[in-house]
Order: sequence, then C-alpha cells, then structure tokens
Amino acid sequence: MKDLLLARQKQISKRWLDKIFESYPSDTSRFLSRESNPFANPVGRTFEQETSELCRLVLEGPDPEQLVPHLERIIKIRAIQNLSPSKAVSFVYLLKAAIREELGDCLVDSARHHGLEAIDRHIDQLALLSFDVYVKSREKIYEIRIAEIKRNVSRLLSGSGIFEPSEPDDSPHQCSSRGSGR
Amino acid sequence: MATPKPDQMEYYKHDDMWAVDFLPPSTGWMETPVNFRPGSFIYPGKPKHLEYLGIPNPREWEVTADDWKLPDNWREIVLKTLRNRLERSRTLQVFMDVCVRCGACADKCHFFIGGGDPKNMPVLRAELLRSVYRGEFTTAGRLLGNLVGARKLTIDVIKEWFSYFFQCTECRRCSVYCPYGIDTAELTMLGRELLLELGITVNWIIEPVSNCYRTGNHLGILPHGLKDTLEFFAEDIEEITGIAIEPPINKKGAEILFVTPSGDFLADPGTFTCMGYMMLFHELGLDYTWSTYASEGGNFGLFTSAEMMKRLNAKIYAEAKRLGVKWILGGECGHMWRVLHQYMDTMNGPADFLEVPRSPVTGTVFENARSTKMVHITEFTADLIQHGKLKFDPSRNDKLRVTFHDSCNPARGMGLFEEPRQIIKSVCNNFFEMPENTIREQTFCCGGGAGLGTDENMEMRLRGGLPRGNAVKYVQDKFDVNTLACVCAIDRATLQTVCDYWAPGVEVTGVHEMLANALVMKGEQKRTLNLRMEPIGDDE
Ligand code: SF4
Ligand code: SF4
Repeated sequence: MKDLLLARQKQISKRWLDKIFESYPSDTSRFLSRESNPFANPVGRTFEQETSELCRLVLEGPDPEQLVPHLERIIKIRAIQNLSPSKAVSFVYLLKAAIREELGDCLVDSARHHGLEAIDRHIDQLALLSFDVYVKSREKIYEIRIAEIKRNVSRLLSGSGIFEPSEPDDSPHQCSSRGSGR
Repeated sequence: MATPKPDQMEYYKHDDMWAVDFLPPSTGWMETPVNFRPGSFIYPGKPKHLEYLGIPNPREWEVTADDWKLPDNWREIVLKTLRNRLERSRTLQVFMDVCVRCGACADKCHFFIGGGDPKNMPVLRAELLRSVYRGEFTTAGRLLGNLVGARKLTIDVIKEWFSYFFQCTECRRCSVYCPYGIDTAELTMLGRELLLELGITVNWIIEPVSNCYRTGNHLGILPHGLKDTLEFFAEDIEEITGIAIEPPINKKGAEILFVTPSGDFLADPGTFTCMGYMMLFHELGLDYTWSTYASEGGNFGLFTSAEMMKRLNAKIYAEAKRLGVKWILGGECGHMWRVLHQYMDTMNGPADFLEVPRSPVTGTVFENARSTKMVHITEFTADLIQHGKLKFDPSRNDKLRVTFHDSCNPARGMGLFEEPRQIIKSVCNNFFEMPENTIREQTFCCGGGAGLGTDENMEMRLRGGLPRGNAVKYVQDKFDVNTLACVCAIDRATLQTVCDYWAPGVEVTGVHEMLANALVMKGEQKRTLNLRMEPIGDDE
C-alpha cells in the first residue's frame, strides 16, 4: 500500500492542492491555481510548495517535528483569512478525499483498505498538530498587536504635558481610542 | 433567538462545524452579505469628533449591531451626494461608465492576493458603487437590474461599502495596470464621502482629523509638548554625538519651514528618523524652523473628504506666510506627499509669496517644486550627496543588511524611486532589492495606509501586508536581510508589525535614521551608540 501511495504521491498532492483551491470562491481559486509568479501569488505558490512537502511526509510516515514548519507556512496564512478556526484547519482533511479519489478502484481490495487506515491516522495526527499551529499563529497576532501599541506611544511620558488633558472615556468598546502611528 | 455576533461563542454554530463542507458560498457577490468578524473592521468614529468637525449624524453605534442608527432619509442623502459628486467631477463619471471589466486589475490588490476575498478585487470594489449607480441612475439598470449588474441602494449595501471601502488603502497599485487608467482609490474616496454624509467613518481617522483641526497635528500635541519632545531628542543626540543642538521653533524669517508627520514625534522608530533630520540640519547649519502650528505633514483629511483635506492642509501655507520663510521642506511620509504633490497647489495655492526652492548648500533649484514650493527631504539630501557635501562612515551601519520598501504614495504618486536608494547606498554597505514586481511603481502596500493602520483590524492588515511580507521574507532568506528601510511614517509603524508576522527578525528604519548614524559631524565624539542607543560595533 505504501508503495502504491508513494508512486502516486505527485498526483495525490496535486489533487489535494486543487481541493484546497476549490474551497475558495471561484475567482480566487482560479487566480490561486493559475498565477505562477511567487511574488504575484504568494498564497497559491506557498500552498503548492508546502502541501507537496506535507504530502510526502505523511505518506512516508510522519515525524511531527518535520511537519510543523510546513504546516506553519500554510496555517499562518489561513489564520488571517477571515476563516472560522474549524475552516482554517479543515484543509488537512481534504487530503483523505484526495487519496481516495486518486486510488479509486484500487481500494476495493480489502488489504489495501487496511493500509489506508494507517495513513488516515497520520492525517488525523496532522489535523491535531494543525490546531496547535493555528492557535500559535493567533497568539502571535495578539502579541504583535500589543507590541505595536506600545511602540506607537513609546515617547508618551505620562504627565509630560505633551497632550491636551482628556476627559475620562466611557464609550462602548467599539469606540475606544488609542495612540498614534500616524 | 437573535443571530449571534462574531464575538459570541454561539457564532461558531456546532452544526456548522460538523458540516464543514469545504466549499465557498454558492451565492453571487451581490447576494453574499458582509461578514463582520472581529479583526476585520475598524471601530466607528466617536460622536464628539464628528460634532467638532460638523459632520452629520454624530452618534454612538456599533459595526456588529443590526441597527446603524441612520437618519430616516439616508437613501435620499446618499443618492443626492452621489449625483452631486458625479456632476462635480468628470473623472468619477468616466470611471463609472468606462470600465470594460477586462480584469487586468483584478489580481493586483494586496488585500485580494493575501486574503482571497473576491470583493477585494479592485474591479469588484468599484462595482460595489457602480452597481448602485446603474441601478439608481441609468435606464437600463432600472429596467434590467441584476442582468446588467445593477442593484438598488439598501442598508446591506451601505454595510458592504463600509466593509470594503475601509479595506482599500488607496494605494493605487491597481490603477498601474488598468488600460483606461481607472483609479479605484478615487472611487474608494468617493465611497467614503458618501458614508460620511451618514455619519459613518472610523475613529482611527476622524479622531486625528479632529485633533489636527484643533492643535495642528493628528496626535493633539500642544506647542510646549512639541518643544519638549524636540528637546528630549536633542538630549539623546548630545549623549550619542557630544554635540548640542537647539531646535529652532516658530522662528520668524527663517529661510526654510520644515514639516513632518507627527508620528515622528511619538512613535518608534519614527522618532529616530526625526532625530536624523535634526542632526542633518545642524550639520549643514541650515536656517530652518519647526512650527508648532504646522506641526503635521500628514493629512487624514485625505481619507475623509476632499473638503476636510483642504481644511487641514491650509495651515501649511498659512504658517509659511506667517513665519515669512522662502520655501518649505517636508519629511519622510507617504500620504502627506500625495496631498502636497497633487492637491495642495490647487486646493490652497498658489503660494506666490514663496520662492522657488533653492538649496542654500548646493544652489540647486528644485524645478519640480516650482509651483508647490515644497521639496521632499530625500530630494534635498540626495542633491547634497551628489554634490559631495556630506561625509559618511557607512561602516557604522555594517550590522544592517538593508532592503528598501517603496511607499505607495511617493512611488506611484510622485515617482520618487532613485533618491532614497541613492541615500541608502551612500550610507550603508549592504543593500539588496526585493523582486522587481514588488518594488518601484509595482510596490506592494504595507496594508495599513489610508487610515487602516490601527490595531483592531490587525487580521485585515496582515492579509493586506502578506505580499509585501512575502517579498521581505524572500530577501531575508536569500541575502540575510535584517533591515527594511522606508520613507513613510505610516510604514514605520505598520511595517514593523507586518515583518514581525511574515518575516520575523527584520526591523524597520527610516532613511534619515540610517543617514544620521553614518553622518560624520564636525566636532563629534567617537560614536559607540546608534540613535536607538544600541552599540554600533561588535563590542556588545
Ligand atoms: S483594469 Fe480597468 S477596465 Fe479593466 S477591469 Fe480593472 S478597472 Fe475595469
Ligand atoms: S487597496 Fe490599492 S490595489 Fe487595492 S483596490 Fe485599493 S487602490 Fe487598488
């Protein structure tokens, strides 16, 4: 089974990538798959490169340490794309579908079906890892957000009289105000 | 039960989670409603600022609420304003009619490239307005509706406009590729003006506008505050160089008025760039002055309305006149230069009382500024370097491996490509360009321009900053680049964050910060610290 999968690795990762692209609206999906310049289309080309690596690692029998950097490069992007958390990591499961589609008829053989279970477990492991990575990316966003606020008021010395005295602010949270950076 | 808001846990419906179908919404763009998730919008303008500026319908409201508290006749107001703007500006009318939807601009916007939301394709962003124009103002649109891409103005359209016109940084990258020269940024400006008539704007823009109208700068720094700030900088400079500098403030009869964005007074690393200007001017013995009234080069009025931009800009010429200077020099900033270069002269000029700028050091006459009388600091400094008027020790910047980000407005708005590069190459030994399709007129925005550079929309900014961050990462991996130089105050604030996410380890610097570190000044002590008070050599 492993040999079969490894032999079809290229096709499998291509199918996986296509499925990920198809999960975006049609205009986006067309752009992501067609534009080949990595600077004009960083998302598409990053996904292409990293899914191919991940696919290889999963089929070979994954080592979590090797998986993480590749997962990070994809999830870092998905984490800021206005996707719900479940949707952001859902792309991992598309690999299962890609494998099944690629193998098609070969799967009728029950021995082979058994081999597939091992791969599915690897993919589940990948999914769990991806949740860790997602949370890490989100934490990073909050971290840099705070760092920026601090930089923006770095010269604000309390009581220095640089600013007009302001009245206390009791408006709802969506009306809060803050420092500078402009 | 009311529909849960994105900041409530129930928003992530469990049924939905089981049924993650991996597929995008199947509805067309007109039927797909806006999704206001936290991180994707900026907080509304506070009523006190709207009141201060005389903007209609000041009120407390929330973006995620169903009711945006619009006046009863909101439709009438918007349509009347739209008609008025189309009559007033021939360009806008042309932009409404001439797009052939060829799609050349579609994949050029950083928000679309990074985030994948089709409504961030410039062509579709403009279509958000055009569809209403067709549906309300053209016969074909009124009769055939959706068939000809027309629709009526509804509350949902207003919400959609708010979402997408505040997801455009007015960077004009898209317009570079349009065969008809359609400038989507102008349509975004129009869209924002329409919203403003309903009292819809964001606080991160309107608070600085109101501050600026009152105190002369976005941050609300008062005259003595500015004086203190510059004196603090002078103390730091003295510690580093051993040279005492006295910043001239409101000096009548000075030859040159210097105006820079107020972010340089308060936010690192802009502060270091500001110290850089002070050191350069001191070294040259320049007869110049700061102004506590024209204490802001930036102009958030540009992101509000044409009228507001004009109001805020007026102080620059007024102050030049009051102080009796000959010409005006402007600091490193982005959108500031869009206003100065493209609008100031027609808005508040002609400044006949000023002279055509001439460098007192080299004698160069800046013909390009013949009409505005205002010169960009990098033009001024590059000219000094060309004439060999400055002495540098570039090895002081040897720890830096530098790349340069072309800020959208100076690059696309005024063609300023070579001057900053010339300065950088003179003051450091390691300079590397990012890939060609990400620099000069094709430069990618930082994702935080046009009043989007606050923190509550961080996710949106990181989407927009992805293409820029990706190019920085590339030179970081390939050439070990650790420094991103730029000539824009907003960039200095926002790009650091973009780098922290997409290319961690890269630090942002202003060009004149680098210059001042390398500048050999008369009578200086041996420099061991840079302007950030970090050791220059390896002896850490
Ligand atoms: S490139 Fe110009 S004409 Fe073509 S779709 Fe974009 S705006 Fe319209
Ligand atoms: S953000 Fe820039 S590229 Fe995108 S639509 Fe606005 S002006 Fe065009």
